[in-house]
Amino acid sequence: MAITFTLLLGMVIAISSFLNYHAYRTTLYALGEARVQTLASDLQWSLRQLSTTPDSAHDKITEVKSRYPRILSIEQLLSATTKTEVSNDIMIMTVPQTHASGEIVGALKIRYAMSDEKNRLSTKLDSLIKTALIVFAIASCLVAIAIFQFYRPFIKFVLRSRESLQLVEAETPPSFDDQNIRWQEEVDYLAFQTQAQTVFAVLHEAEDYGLSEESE
Amino acid sequence: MTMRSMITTLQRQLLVLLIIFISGILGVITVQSLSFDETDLRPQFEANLDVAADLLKSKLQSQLEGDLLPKQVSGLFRDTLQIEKEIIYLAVIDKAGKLVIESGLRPAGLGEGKQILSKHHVGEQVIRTLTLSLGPNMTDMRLLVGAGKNQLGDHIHERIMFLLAALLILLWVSVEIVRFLFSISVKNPLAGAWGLMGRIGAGDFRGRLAPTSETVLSPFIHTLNKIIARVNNHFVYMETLAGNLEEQNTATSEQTKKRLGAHLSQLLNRFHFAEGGTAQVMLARAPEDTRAVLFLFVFAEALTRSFFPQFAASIPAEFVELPVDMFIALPISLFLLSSVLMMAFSEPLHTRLGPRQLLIIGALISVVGFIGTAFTESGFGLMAWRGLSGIAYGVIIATCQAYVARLTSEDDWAEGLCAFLMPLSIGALLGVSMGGILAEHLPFDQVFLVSAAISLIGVLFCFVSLEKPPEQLESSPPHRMNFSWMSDFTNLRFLMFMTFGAIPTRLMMTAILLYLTPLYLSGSGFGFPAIGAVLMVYFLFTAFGTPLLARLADKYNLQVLPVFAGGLISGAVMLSLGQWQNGLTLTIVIGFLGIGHTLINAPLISALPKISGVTFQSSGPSAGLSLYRVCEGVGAIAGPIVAAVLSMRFGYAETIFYLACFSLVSAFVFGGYFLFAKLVPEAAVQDPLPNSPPSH
Repeated sequence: MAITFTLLLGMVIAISSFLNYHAYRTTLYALGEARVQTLASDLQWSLRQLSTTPDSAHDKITEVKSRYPRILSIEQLLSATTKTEVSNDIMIMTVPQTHASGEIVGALKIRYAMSDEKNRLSTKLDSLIKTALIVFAIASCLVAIAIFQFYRPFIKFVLRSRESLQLVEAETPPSFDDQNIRWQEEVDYLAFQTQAQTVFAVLHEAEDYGLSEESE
Repeated sequence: MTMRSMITTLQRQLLVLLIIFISGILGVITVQSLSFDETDLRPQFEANLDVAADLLKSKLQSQLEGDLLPKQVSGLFRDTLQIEKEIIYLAVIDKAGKLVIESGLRPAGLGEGKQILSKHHVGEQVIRTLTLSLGPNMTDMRLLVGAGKNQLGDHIHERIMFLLAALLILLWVSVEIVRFLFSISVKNPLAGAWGLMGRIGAGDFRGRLAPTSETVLSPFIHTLNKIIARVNNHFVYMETLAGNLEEQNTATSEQTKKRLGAHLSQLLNRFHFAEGGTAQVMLARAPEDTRAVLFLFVFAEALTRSFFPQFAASIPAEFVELPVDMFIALPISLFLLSSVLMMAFSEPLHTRLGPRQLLIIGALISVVGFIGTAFTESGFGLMAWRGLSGIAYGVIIATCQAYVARLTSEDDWAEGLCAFLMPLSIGALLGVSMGGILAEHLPFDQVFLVSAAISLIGVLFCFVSLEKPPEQLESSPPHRMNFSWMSDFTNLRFLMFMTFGAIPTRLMMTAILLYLTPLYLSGSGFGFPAIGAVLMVYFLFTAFGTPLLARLADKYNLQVLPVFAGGLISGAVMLSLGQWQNGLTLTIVIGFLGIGHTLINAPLISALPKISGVTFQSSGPSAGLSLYRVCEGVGAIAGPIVAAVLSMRFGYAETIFYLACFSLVSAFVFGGYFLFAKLVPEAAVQDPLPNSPPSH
């Protein structure tokens, strides 16, 4: 049971660490995505205002890139799509680009470095593993002590019953008698013991008769 | 103190220990993690605000070109508040701190002039202050950008709710695992050993115990088996010896033969020995044997409940001009129909195959059903696989129910039923919640595959927890159809009991929980975890309330009043269901619905042996329970179809209203009838119930 408990606690620690890590990761990425979304919205707005002058649009993109070094690249696409994905520590967000008249004229593809988030995730994981190991070590020791304490009376009872059973098997005088009885089950046990003793005695007696005759 | 109470205490101590440890561990890890998140994510959150404020400032400067044009500023503010969800307040103030233009939610404490310029936190908001060169004199103005201070906290609190639901599931699953292991390693072997010693105490040496795996009890059981084998072998030896003496015809042998014969007959009078010296394996059975298995199957099935209507709607119907709402209801009703039919007709299979084999077959069918549903691409396929899943569900429920009923005596009827009702309700409670969480992260078909995997684990549990019966028990006498249950239908009390008690409750349950709530909540913008959490509240009350109320109803012989009160409560809360759009109030309403249905179900089950007297007397408690399940199954099958027909015609809110009225009318008819006609006739009170097989 101690092993089962330790395994269960290990499982609980692993799952709760994973869930916390997953929750942190989701929040962190949501914040990162919100930031890129802010930048993308601003760019969309700026380019919509500047759409009549393509050079100004290019200047705006260069300006944004220089102000926010985590933006790796900004591409203007002809096909209008909306998509967000994270791969290899880079978030790629594609948002539609509209003309001042409201007509969709293409898309903006922003590649944003997520290496900072990756480092933060690694720190978070280290922190969780450290906590999980400490908690697991303490919990395992406490579980071992507690289970030993709880099981002690039961194990004593089983060992006592087994010893008594071995005496019955060896056909020695009973160890349980009326004086020893504390529980209702021990009354049943006494009945069992008496019956076993009796049957052995009768069988031996019968055997003695049979064997003596056979030897004659 | 008895050995049984010592074992119960030990089990309770272990479970309390487990709950304390798991809660403590989860608490420590979550608190540490959240404190890390708060410290680590706060700068990220504020950096986002800085970027947004900076961009807005550039936008204002470039758009207005130095002029403060209130109309344009207000337009920009409005657009920004719509796009940037984190920003909740925007304002422009002059150099003296006087408010010029503002938009959004003004923080409490703002408007005290210059004081604001040096502050970063005002009331419940984080404020960023940036200098703007605007106005006719190009004087420095200030742009205030405010974000809710608790937005990050809210984000984290949402996560805590998700963690709590997942951890509750984890806690319960761990408790079930420990209960199961404790039962198979300590409780059942010890109960079996003492049962066997009781038999020996009465002189019966014909049974022995199956050898157990290496536990503290295995040497004990081994020694007991050795004693039994020795006694039986000795007796066989004596019989052989007596046989040998028969062949000798000396004078002394005659005397010995007489004495030996007297001894042998004395032995045979007092004791029973195993034929051929080989004792039969005794099955140590307890109502709790099926607990873990039942929990796993119900959990697997409930995983799909929070999103099943949406899943069905995503599959092409292929039926001519069948509206989507009706198509959604069909697989649900078909599932319930096949499960009810199996519950009604699984008795011969149970007798023929035995619980172990039947559960394994049911579980394997359930695995196939889940896999088939996951990969189905047509409406007909969906119906067929759900029908198959319904068969499996019916077989499993009926087998577990019969297993528990056969080991439950009249005295501990409510107690024994807890072993059946608890895993049924807890499995549904946790499964529906877990299913919602899974559906958010996995496609629907993969959740069905998770259910299949859990059912497969259930098959393994069947192999471990249910002992294989001895060979001679395998070939049971052929089952004969018994139609005595039909006479219950000539009893007006029984008809009223079912028509206005069991059937309407089940109809409400399937219509509201399996059909309307997922669709209604989904239509109100709730995600699958939220739908799962709302449904979980219903099962929370039924899980813990049903066994408790069944015991109380048994103890105080109180059946009619709780059923009437339950009908009134569930009708009243359903009348108000359409009024609420807020998640918390909806959860409370569904919780009250759970309370109402618990008040109805528990006394009905408790009253069953009295009301369904003919079936109970002639066919036993298992058949009585099956009859009840089949009757209430009529309501279960009708529920989704009635809900679909009504919602197609009137909409979800009106459908709930009509169902609420039906619940109230049923409660009044039930209460009114049983107020005048007593639930149990006087004659039946005098007439004791049939003796059920005693629990070992």
